[in-house]
Amino acid sequence: MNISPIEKVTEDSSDEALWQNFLREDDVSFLWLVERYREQVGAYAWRMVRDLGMSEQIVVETFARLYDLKPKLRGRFRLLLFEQVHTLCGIAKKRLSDRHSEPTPAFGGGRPGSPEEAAVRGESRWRLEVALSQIPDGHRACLLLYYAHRLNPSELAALLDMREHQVPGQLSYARRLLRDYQRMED
Amino acid sequence: MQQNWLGMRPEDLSDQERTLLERDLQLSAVHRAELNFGDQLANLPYLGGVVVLDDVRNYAERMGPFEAPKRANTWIYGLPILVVVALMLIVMAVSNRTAQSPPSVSPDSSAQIDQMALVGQPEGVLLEASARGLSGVERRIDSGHSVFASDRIVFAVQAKGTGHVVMGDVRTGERLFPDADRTMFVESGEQSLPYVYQLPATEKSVELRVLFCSKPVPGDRFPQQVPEDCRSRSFQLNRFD
Repeated sequence: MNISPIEKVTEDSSDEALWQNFLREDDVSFLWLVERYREQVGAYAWRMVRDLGMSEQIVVETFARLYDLKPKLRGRFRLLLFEQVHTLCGIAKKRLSDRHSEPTPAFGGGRPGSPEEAAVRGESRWRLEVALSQIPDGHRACLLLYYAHRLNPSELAALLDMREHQVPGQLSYARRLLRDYQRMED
Repeated sequence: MQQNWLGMRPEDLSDQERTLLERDLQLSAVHRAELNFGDQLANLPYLGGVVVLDDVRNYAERMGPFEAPKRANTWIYGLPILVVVALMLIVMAVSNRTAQSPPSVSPDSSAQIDQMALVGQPEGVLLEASARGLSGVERRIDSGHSVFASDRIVFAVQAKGTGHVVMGDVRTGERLFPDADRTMFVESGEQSLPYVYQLPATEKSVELRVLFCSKPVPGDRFPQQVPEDCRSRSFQLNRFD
């Protein structure tokens, strides 16, 4: 692999510039990527596995995998990142179902039972979170990766094992499901 | 027509779809509503624990090296089909081979048939000969032709009907082919005799005869008279002076 010298990057540099610098053994670039994406990764994991402890573990493991596998990974950073998260979420879901644990609902208003959670009850965001937690995993992943995490249709297709031309249809159906569940909450 | 593309981000729309949105205000409003509905998901917060780089490093050290995620080997599902196809091809190949190539008759298999017991219906017989000299050149000879003492004479019978073949020297009564108490049963057609004759150095002329009989000719001698159940053909050979 042709490794060029470390370029000067800042906290505001693009994902790809930071990732390329990290491939040249610049850990500071990776630190900025962690800072930039840890909440997004955590949010996705949380909403997919519906378990707070597990989602925090997924965040750490996702970045640890990127850190460890960097010489073998090729592609756009955001796609590499969400490939890891999505894979880990699948593994975590299986572990949770094997343990027969009661999943913690992925509510965005704080830990269940906390004052923060109570404060957001009744808000439209609460209803959205509840509806989102009720739709099937595949449709939830599709909506989150496209709207919340800004993956493009080709990346989404690669990640969710479908054809690119199927993405708009999947998103349309997932939005309809989400809206239907949201209405049921009203 | 179903317009699934409504609600997609502007950069993911085609030129045709953008043109449609510019021309149709109602469609544009639906599109914007769908997009806004989806974009709500971007505003959902995450209030989990804060992860820092040290967490990542510690975790990586504790867990050791990861294996790169392996892509699902979807081709593996094709293996059973390949195996079935290969088996079918093998079965077809074997059955075709059997169909095209009937079991070959081994030389020994003819011995399993007791040729001595066969009864033929001889209708006629012709005897043809060719002589091969010392130079290796083979030439066709007819009855009455002359040959050298060194020539090797090969005979072939043209038989009509079925029967036992025996050849000998008429004057000496020597049985030349086949050996005593053996026989050669032939059917209509040309048959080369597995026998090579050489004119005796003491003889200037010989008269050979082939018998084509319904029954085997027994004994180690050649009959001077043609038996009743046989057809015959004589062949005279002279020696060059």
